[in-house]
Amino acid sequence: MAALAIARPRWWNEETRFAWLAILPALAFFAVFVGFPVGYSFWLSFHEWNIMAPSPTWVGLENYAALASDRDFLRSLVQTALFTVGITACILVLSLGMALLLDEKLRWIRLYRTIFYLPAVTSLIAIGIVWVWMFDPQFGVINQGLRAIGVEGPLRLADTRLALVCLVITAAWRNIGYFATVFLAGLQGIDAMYYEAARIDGAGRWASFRFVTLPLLKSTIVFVVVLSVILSFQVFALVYVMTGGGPAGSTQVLVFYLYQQAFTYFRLGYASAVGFVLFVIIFVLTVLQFKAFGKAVET
Amino acid sequence: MTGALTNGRSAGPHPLPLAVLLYGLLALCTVVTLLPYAWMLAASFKPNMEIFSATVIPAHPIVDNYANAVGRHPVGRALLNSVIVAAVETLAVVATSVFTAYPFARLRFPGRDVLFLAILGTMMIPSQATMIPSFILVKWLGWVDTYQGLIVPRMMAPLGIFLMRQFLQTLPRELEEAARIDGCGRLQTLRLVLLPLMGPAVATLAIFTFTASWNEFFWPLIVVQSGEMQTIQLLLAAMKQAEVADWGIIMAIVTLSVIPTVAIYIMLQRYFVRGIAMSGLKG
Amino acid sequence: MTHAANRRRLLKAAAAASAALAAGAALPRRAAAQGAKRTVTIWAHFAGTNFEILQRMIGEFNQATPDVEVKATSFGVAEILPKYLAAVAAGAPPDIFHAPGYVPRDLAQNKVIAPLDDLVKLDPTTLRNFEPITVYDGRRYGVPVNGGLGCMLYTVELMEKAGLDRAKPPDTWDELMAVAGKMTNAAENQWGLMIGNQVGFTTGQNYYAFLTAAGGELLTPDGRASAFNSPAGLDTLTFLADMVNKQKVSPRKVYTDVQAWSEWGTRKVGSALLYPVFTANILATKVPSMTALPPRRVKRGAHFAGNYWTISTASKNREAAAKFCQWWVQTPVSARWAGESGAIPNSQAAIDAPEYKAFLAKNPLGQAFLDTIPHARPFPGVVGMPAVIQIVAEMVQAAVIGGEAPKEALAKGAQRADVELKRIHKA
Repeated sequence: MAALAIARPRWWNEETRFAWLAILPALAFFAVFVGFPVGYSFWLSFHEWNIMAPSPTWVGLENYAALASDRDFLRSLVQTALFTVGITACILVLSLGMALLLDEKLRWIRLYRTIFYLPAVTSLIAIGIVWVWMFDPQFGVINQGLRAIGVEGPLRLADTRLALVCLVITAAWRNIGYFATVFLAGLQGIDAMYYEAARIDGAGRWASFRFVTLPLLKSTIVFVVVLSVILSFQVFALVYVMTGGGPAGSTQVLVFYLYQQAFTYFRLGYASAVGFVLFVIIFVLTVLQFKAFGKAVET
Repeated sequence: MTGALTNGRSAGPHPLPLAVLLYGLLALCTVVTLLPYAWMLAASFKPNMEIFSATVIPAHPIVDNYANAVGRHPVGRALLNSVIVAAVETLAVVATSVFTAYPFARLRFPGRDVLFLAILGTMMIPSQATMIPSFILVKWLGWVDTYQGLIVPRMMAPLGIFLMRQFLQTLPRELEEAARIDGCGRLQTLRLVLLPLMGPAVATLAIFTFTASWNEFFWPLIVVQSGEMQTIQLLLAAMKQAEVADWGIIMAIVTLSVIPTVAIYIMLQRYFVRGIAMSGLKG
Repeated sequence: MTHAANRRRLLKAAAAASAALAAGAALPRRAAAQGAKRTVTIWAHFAGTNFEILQRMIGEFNQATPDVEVKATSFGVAEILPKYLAAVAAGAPPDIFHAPGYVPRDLAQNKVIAPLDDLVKLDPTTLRNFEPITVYDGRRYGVPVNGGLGCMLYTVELMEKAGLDRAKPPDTWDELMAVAGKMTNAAENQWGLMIGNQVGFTTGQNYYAFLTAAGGELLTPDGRASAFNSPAGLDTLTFLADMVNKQKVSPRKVYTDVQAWSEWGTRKVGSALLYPVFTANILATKVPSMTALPPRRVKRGAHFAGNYWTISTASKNREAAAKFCQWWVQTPVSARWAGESGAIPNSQAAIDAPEYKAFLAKNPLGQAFLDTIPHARPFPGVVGMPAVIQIVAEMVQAAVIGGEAPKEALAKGAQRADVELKRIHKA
């Protein structure tokens, strides 16, 4: 071993070798199936291409410059941010609550877990179809229910101020079960022994939640929040099915804007620039979140 | 064993006020969750005109919608395609995620954090932006309108690697150290010591991946060219936009499309068990 | 979990995966073209009943033409153009692309679709309305599958209840608004007039129909700037906005015309704008209805749409595809398609053909569409129409339910259209 060590740098040890070998297949895969399309898309962002022409035209930074002053783009950014904040807050509170509920040894608990996960396994197309009906001012269950308690259906997709709220509600309904499953897996990883120890030490329910559950769930919470932000910023299918960006552009989220630029306005170069800016935004937010959560990430 | 809400009291049933609260919450959540499904299921048994009425329960339930759905439309084939694609994708993603996440969770090597962030970064690129370049790649590989075209580009998932890594980090190092002392190689450690403890995480990832694959719309839209390769989501979307949108049939197909994913979830549910006792801190 | 259990799980999984892959490989797939037989692929945007009829007719063609086999796949009308473009970019387009509403000049200009003058000969009595959106720079790029336009549709029961004479349907916009008012009962969710306002093609189309009746123009003749920020344009937008906001004869919700027609059976819709392919749906509701010419403002106007077979330039089966198109425009075939689907036939000869006459005899709703043909005109055949239509639809939605004043919405819409058109023509 000593003889071989002469020719090698210090960090090239068995651990490194194994690690690199293990991740090599994934890296190769991503290089091909992600790297190529992303690289191509990034390259396209410096061009103008209506998809039909035989080759794109170079425009340099023009797309990015145009983005900075594009009011529709900026409006999309705001709406997407609002949606993300709304849905992430909902998920964090409601999913954790639901997971705590499901962690209990109650009768039929397995059935309940299945029921609450149902929305997550239903396709967005199906959900979009059903929920558009649910929000219908005339035939929809939600507004009928509101009417029964005397409120005249404000929650409708036709309302420019509330359409985004309707989307958050639908998305929340869909995803709470999904993230509750993650929290549940995390909660189940916490040995009951810790709770017993805390109880013996005289901790009440709230104290043990704060000092046993939350710290031990940190990794999971990081996962949920980071993932929720990443996914919500890219919300598309729900908008596509339910509102088409309307009414009057009040639910025109970023990816929908991107899709329209590419396929209705025939500006794939510009759409690629939007995609890249979106990526940068999400990336920066993710790094900030990791920094904020600090130690939970490092091994 | 009970959980956080009851502060680890493992003996006996819950005290009455708490039980009432918990069951009450469960009931409320159940109603909220199931309401759309109830409506959808009821609608699938109604004739078209009745769907537009305010009633929830159909006055005279009919099965025609299901008969027509299956008889006149390639529902069976679409479901089969979705099942094949989702199943293979799930197996591939779970296997590769565990294997790839381990170095990121436990080992030290140069470039680790940068690479992890890079892999995570691939989740942040909206797929609509890379749709056309990806399709060009798939066409070049000769996989247009094939199962490979649908499955392979999704075979490895950064989400899976992320999830597995976070979960692996919660397992105590001592277990691995003990295994090493006993003479296990790294692969053996992974297989024999860590994997058995990852039941909930693996089950979660399997459920997630199956679900995501089942619900995918835009990638199959681009890749699929022929009726035989349509997935159930494509079929639904096309039908929704038909000139004479037959809502009863659409609701019937929606109901059918929900069944396989629910079945998978029920099957994998039993892996959501509390972990075995471990010593050491977590987090 | 024990090692044994683990291994078993792994084996089961591997077995399942192999079985799945094997099953997938064994499933019947599209057979490769054999010998002299050419396979022609069509991407169509019909679904449901109309797609079934199309498949049947394709079957007839395949039987009659042994050296060509046509296979059609159905895609949603909203997704078919993006999907086609992606396929074009990758070099794998279908032989025939079924263009909805009009043939986008962009496809012709960029040589994505091929000129068809030499390949397909149309009947001399083919409706002239098709020309502005199929003939570009003197060459024809699309073969009409069928024509289409919007007429007024009324529920007889509600008209009579409101004391109106069904023999004298409203002839002007003001009369229409008054009639709709009499048929509205908001408390009972009954609406006198429902015209779709969801962002999309049909809303743009509706605006254009009314704009035509108001004597307005959508774009300048060279297609480089908008022309709808005009008194006629404002008149039109105000009319549509007033429906919901002032006269309140329309519900305050987002919906497409398809949804309005789907609600016809509730007998709570007084009138709507109908397109012929949907007459079957209306008839199926068994609600006694009648159609009438669209009301006039300055003149009578309607939007002429239809849908078109186009042949991809990259297609390797151009002649075979053209054979199918040529078969399609034969008078008896066109008449039969129109008779079964309810659409408008391609030519006067087909309109007069016995197959279509038989359909008309059974379907009294169909006559009004034919009577409107002379007044209907298609979209301008210029580059950038998809973008313009989108902008117009968004403008309409903003004014109708978005709370924007028609004047502002109009100005904003025109400005956006101008910016878009300028950018397109600069390139």
